[in-house]
Amino acid sequence: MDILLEPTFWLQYIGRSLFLLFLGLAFLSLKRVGFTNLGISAQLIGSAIGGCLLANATGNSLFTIFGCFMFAFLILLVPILLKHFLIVDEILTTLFFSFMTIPIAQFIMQPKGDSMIVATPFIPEKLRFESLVIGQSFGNYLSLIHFSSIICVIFAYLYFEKSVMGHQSKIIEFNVNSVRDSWLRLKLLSVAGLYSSAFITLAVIADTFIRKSRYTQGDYDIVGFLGVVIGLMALRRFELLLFMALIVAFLETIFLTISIYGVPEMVSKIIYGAGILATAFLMKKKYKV
Amino acid sequence: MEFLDGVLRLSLPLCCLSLAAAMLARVGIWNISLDGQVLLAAIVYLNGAGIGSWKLGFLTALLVIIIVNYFLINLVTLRKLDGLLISLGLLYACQGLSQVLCKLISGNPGYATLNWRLNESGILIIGYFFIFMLLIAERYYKPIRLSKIIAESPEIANLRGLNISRHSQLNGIIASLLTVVAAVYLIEHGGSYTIGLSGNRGFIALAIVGIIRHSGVKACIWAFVFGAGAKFIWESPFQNEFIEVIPFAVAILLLSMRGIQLKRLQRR
Repeated sequence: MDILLEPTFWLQYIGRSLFLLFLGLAFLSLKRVGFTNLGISAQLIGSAIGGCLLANATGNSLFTIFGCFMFAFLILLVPILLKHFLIVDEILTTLFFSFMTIPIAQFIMQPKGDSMIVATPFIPEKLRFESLVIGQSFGNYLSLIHFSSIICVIFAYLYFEKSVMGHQSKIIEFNVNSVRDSWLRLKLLSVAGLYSSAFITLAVIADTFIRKSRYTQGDYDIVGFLGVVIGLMALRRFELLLFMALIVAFLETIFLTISIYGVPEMVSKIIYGAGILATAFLMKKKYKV
Repeated sequence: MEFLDGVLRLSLPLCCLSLAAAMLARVGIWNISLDGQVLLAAIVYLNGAGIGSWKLGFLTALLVIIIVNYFLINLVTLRKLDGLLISLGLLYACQGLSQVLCKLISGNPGYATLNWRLNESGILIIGYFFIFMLLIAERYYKPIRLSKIIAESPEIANLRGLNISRHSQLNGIIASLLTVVAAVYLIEHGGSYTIGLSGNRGFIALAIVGIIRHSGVKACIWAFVFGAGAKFIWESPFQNEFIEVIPFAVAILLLSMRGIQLKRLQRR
């Protein structure tokens, strides 16, 4: 229990929760226009690797951030266009993009020279945004970029609940064909995709740029599914996302804690799965959706 | 002949899993936890076979997977919980449980050797026999034939007085049997349990269901196509990371072609 008194613990926990909040936002933004995105991992990997390589190549922060955003959006654009023009199920296409990105990333990040680590080069110091870090003496676990996720939640809520386009999105959420204008449907999907990619970009900046300073193979292989879980458990409500992100981050914290006491790490997966099922059941019962 | 033999061996697990996925798709469930179920079935079978009785292993694995699918169907169709969320939860839980069991059996969470080996060709024949019987049943056995109606239109199924719950559970049992057959074949073929045993076949199976929707015969045909492709790739002299990308890229291409076909039908 001494760990609860450590500032590092709380910085890590809050930082992780807010990172997961970005992922939940990215998923829910598209879910609200009837697009189930299981390719968040692909977007994260593409954005992180692209951003790291651009940062080293150009040394320009704006160009790097724009590059991160474009990589995330282009990976998402293909399933969006396939769904809109060819009615291809986005659950499968986005899922497969996640599986395809992992070996491609491995190929791009092949170790060179004597290095054994499959990772991108370190990001130049001037692009690590260290001035935005909170509690730097305890590590780069939390930054102002992390807290921008809360502003993003408010923005997403206002857009989807209070704006005209948000109300139009509600119409196509459950029945894509209820909006006859094909270009309006594509516009709504694309705008949601842009927001989702922006949230992914912020997540990558917060985690890859600020916290880790580079992308290492395996960092984002399965974390995208956590965004899906958070988005689904929030039952289409943006106001519940933060709460769900805190719960999922708490479950992750349990893994680390129980492994210290000798409990095998794989038990954590069972706890995790059971936690998802239990929370989904309880939330469903409480909110009667 | 050797190529054909290889294709048959590579296609059996995918055939079984595609049919299993199709069975649950007919009751409105996208079973993303298939990969996890394969791992769980494999390790439970290994435990039973290790005692010396493959029948005990098979029956225990079947019982476990039936329970998992019962929960899945119950939570999604009766409790109306989100199918995607429940499947993801079960995927994690099944993977974790299989690793725990593997650790208990062999001391290593990612590897366990099968001590008792069956005749692999025998399993191949039995597996294809199951598939053949299921395809016959799909055509002539009323409860399975009617499950297609549920998939196409639950409203019409209700009007016809079909007991959707009972059909869902029947489909779940058949899907469980197919999943266990696939798992048993994979573990007997490799001789050991590893964390990568399923090789993402569960997700390829979902892609096949996305292409064919609910037809069992078409699911088998596409499973053979993927099996032939896998055999061809494995024998290819060009081996690198991009090889792993090919099945998924092909699946996306096939889904796109199906989409073009649907668009043409809509215009008519």
